[in-house]
Amino acid sequence: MLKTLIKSRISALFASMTQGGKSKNKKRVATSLLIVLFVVLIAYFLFAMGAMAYGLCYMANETGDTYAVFTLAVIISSALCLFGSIFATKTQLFESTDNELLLSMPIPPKYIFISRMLVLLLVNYLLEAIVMLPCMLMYGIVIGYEPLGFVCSLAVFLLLPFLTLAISCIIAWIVSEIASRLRNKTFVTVFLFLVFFLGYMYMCGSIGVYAGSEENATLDLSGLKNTALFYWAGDAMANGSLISLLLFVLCASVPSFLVFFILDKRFISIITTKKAKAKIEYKGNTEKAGGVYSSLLKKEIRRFFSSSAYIMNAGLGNVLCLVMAIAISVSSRELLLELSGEYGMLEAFIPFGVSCVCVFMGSMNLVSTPSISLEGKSLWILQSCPISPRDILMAKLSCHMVICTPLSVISAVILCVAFKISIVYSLFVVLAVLGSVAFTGYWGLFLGLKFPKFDWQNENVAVKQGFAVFGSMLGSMLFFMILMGIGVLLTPISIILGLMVLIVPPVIISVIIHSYLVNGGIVAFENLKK
Amino acid sequence: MLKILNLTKTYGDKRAVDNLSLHIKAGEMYAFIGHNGAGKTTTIKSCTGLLNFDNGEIYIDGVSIKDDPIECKRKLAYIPDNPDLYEFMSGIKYLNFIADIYGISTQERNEKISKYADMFGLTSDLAQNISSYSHGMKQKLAIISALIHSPKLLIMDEPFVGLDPRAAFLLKEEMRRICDDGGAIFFSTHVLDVAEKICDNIAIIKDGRLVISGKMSHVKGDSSLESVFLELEDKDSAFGKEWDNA
Repeated sequence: MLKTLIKSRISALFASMTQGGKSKNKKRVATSLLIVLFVVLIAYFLFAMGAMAYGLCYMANETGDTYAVFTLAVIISSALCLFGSIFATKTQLFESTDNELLLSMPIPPKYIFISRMLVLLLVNYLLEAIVMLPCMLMYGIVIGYEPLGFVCSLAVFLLLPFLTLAISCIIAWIVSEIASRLRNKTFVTVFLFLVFFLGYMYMCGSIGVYAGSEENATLDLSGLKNTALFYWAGDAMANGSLISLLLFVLCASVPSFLVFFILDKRFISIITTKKAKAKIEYKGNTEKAGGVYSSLLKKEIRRFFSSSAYIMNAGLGNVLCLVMAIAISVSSRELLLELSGEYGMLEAFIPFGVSCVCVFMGSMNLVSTPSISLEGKSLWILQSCPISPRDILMAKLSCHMVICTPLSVISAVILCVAFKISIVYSLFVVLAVLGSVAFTGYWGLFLGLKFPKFDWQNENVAVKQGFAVFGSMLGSMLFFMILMGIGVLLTPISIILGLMVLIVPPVIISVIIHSYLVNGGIVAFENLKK
Repeated sequence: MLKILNLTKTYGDKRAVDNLSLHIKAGEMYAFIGHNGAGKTTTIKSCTGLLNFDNGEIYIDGVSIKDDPIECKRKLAYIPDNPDLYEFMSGIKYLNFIADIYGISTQERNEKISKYADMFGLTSDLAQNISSYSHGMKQKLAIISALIHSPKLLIMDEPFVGLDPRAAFLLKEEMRRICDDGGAIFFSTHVLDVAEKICDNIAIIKDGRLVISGKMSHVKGDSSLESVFLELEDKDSAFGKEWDNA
């Protein structure tokens, strides 16, 4: 029975990764492309982690701080596990739609709980492997393992996901509990996740200060010894210290066991208890008649702000861009100015650099991409109403613009002011940001229309998975990275020329996609699900 | 009001609807019955512009759904078999959204919302999110949203599923009123008693082909609709066609 439950969970996990489509060929092509994108993405991460670990191994070997390689690897992988699986934990454990169906069957609730936890654990192992495996490999090549160190490494590798899963469960539980009692569930969920996210980033950032803030560019890794659990893991893996391993095992397994034990005991009550919420009184219809387009736009904006998953996955670039702009202007401005001055690139590269940062962060905004897939089973409403598909598509695009433009422009202005960029160059920076917002909007909508995913049960699947989402994000990033590369070459010739490279191509491509959307796109929308 | 001419729709090798023709005039209430998978929903979705079809033509009040789908959609309202509405909206926001789409004035929408929400007992829940609604409440909201723009033609797929007896009664009353006011109704149902009691006309579909259609009294004669339906289900469609032609 447990085997069947686990099998169905795993097949559901992989089914959500496949791409739906009308024709088998299109489905096959899209799924194949999705798999290729996944492989490329994972290969990129493995390579990046391997390269980083390779450099760190040499540095740590010289200073004798070999534990630092694994301490940093454990910090990074635990962060990746936490943020990669936290939404899955929340939906799988606390908001799963098939709870009632499974509970009505002769299945022990313990099996339902265990099957869910095992699949979440598998996700954590996969995410952990992306960081830990290249680090362990590079450590073996560059420094070499002690026999006991290798055994400890395996033990830490096997135990770490239990800890990250336990932390995910606690955060997801707290968020679900608080959100379920409040009316504005989305705001509370987003706010709490942001608090946890920024708190964790601050913690990692603090470690980074200890590790790498040396003015003479020499790393002082000794600060990592203050990271307790992470240090013990690193020490056990690198030096085979059994005391460190014991401390790590105790600190990781005891809280994990407690969390899993409590969750197991309270599982039925968690999934079956409905929190009482105060009923909102209807006080008559106070809304006035509006136009078709404005009504469609309002609908799209309302949908965005109604879903924490949509906000966190498709609009987080906005928040990160603003946080980064403020952080840079407050703390790192002097350092960056100094570095730029040292390399004699102050005048030429600062406006270009600021544009690159804003544009790149903006490429993480995917508001328009899942907007078609999110129609899901409700697509019949738009398709049976007397609305032009052009209006529907343009409303989805406008929603992207309305949500992404203000924060992107504010971030750009903050950076322009912080770096004392002239008004003329600041205008170019803002134009580059506007161009990137338009490009990501059009590109995302285009892919969303071409590769919609309607067969979802949970909206997380529409927002996070499918070829459109991956293609939109990776495509935008790759596109802007190419433009940045060209811009770097042209900026020494002319600053304006460098900036124009970031402005003109996105605008041209946006115009091309616009002309497609208002012609072929209309037909494509009409034929969705037909 | 609704003219379906030689409608054919295939899914791969399967003919879901095969050369189906029907004519529903203003003032008529037309029931559409058949076994599961007979082609009822495909026919209905084709009529509402939700599905493309391979052959044939569909006219709504004289306008071809192929040539001018938006004009056709202005004249009709559709209620699907499963009311998947925008769960992120409250009931009132959804009704206002639909009213905006159909260009209903503030005063008119307020009157209609008030009238139908009171009628179906949904007024106190209008401020709640649709995600908190039961199936029946969603069905009531879908019905109100369909009635809000006073459609000339109401097309419904299993409209009574999930409705409580009072709401079902009120819907039947409203359907009768629409037809009396010159509108037309075309709906599918598995509840043969309802079809028998309230409909003027009936069409029975089997394996995508129209087995019989016409006035209720002619179709069922002295028998009950149930016995006619079961008899037709057991016989092959060729016999049914002969009966229809006769």
